[in-house]
Amino acid sequence: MTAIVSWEDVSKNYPGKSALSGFTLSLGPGVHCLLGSNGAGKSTALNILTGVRQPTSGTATVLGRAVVRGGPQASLLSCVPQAVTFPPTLKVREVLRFISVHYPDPLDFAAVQDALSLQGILDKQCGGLSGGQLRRLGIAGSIICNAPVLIMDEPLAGLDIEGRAQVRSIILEQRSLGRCIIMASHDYAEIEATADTVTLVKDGRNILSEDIESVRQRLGLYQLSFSADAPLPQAVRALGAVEPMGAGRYRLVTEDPDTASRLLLDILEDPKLNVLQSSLEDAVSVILSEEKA
Amino acid sequence: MRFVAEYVRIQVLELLRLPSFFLPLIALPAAFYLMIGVRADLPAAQILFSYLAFAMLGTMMFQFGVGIAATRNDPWNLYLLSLPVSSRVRVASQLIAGLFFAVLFSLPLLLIGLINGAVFTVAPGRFLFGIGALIIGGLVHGALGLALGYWLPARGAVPITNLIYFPLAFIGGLFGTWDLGALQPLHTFSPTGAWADLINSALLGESNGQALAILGGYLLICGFVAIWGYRRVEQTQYR
Repeated sequence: MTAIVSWEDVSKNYPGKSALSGFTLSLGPGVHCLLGSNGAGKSTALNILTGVRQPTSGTATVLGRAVVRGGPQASLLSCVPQAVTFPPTLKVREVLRFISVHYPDPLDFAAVQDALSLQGILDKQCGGLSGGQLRRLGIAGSIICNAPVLIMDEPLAGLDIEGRAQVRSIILEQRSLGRCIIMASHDYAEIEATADTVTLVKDGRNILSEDIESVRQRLGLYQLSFSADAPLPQAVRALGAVEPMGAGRYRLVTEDPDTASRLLLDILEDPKLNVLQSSLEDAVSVILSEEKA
Repeated sequence: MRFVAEYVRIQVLELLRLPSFFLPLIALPAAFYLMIGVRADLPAAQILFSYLAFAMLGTMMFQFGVGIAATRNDPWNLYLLSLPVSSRVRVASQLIAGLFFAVLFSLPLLLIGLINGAVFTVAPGRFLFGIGALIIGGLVHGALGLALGYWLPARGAVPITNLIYFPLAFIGGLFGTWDLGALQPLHTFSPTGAWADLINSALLGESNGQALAILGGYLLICGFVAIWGYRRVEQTQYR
């Protein structure tokens, strides 16, 4: 993989707190997601890459150029910040124009407004926009830059179904152009739909960076849900930790779904069995809890 | 230069559409000039220039002081740091936008001065000296505004600036009240007082070393505090 962006042994300390601790990661073309609990260091890592924050030690680079606030490497990346606000009296059109003039080869205005359905709000002042419209404007501002690296901190927060679909389609389109898209998100469904790799960040460190399928498969866990009358037979309870889900439904997580399914079908009358491979969210929570232990 | 122009444009547009900023600063000096200034028993040009200084003081205090204090924690400002442009562009554009508004807010006063003839009571050369003195004081008070902007808390910026702005204007005699009684020493050594004295001397075609020295001292102090505040913000909030 050709590295487009990288953090090399980056640490960031605040008084009495370490936000990043020897964070190292290289990312190439594709959609990459930083995952981790609140305060894990995801936003700090992204802010260091954009030059908004400066590392206490270590270096971040974009296409081999060290990150300097406002430096030439900044024209290689565009970002959607987590907290999106724009000057309330500026119009949407003016904000987009202002952002685009910073970049050497910005996209055509029309392409961006169509992709994010901004036509109706171009002449509205930002102070009158809804949360979802502000989010779409933030994303439009990052797309119009036409930069090889796109940084999106919680890009789907506050969007309706249509907005999420638009943003997902934009992310996938950017990926098809060979861009490096880095997202910080808690939305596992969207991550599974769009991301190529996930990086788990915990206590300011990169504890795992792999493609999504590997993360899921390395656990090899399956989730079985079924219906049964209480109390559960001893043989079912012996399969492992069975959790009640309400309305007579139970959940069992197992490494051997075949044996467990056969047994449930033999013992229970019409268990309405449902077998699912463990989700990314399950996998991440197990990895994080193992790390904690 | 292209970036500076773009940043100035965006700041001017933003503030022109903000009535809470725009209306008081354009209307108050003109209203006070019409209600109080024109009746003052002082040379007409001196009164006009005092109010021009008052208009400029308001711009510097509110655009730089309140403007910076209220927005320096704003996510938009953090976002701007990610753009490929140097911080010098942002600072330069702020100063130029300040100059633009200072001129804009002076226009109603100049218009009244043209109508009531105050502009014509002084020779053109001395009028230009007066403008020069106005600009010198504007720089000093611009530095004061920047110092306030980088040190005032966002929430307290407006009331604290008002607490400084009106007393400073009064002590400096910018409303056309030059006899301050027991407060007279304050006038002489206050930044606005030295500014008014410098303007008055310029209109009379005289030099005023004392006023220049006092203003120079304030420029050094305010400039130092402003740069200190700027670095503090850069090193703490944006580091």
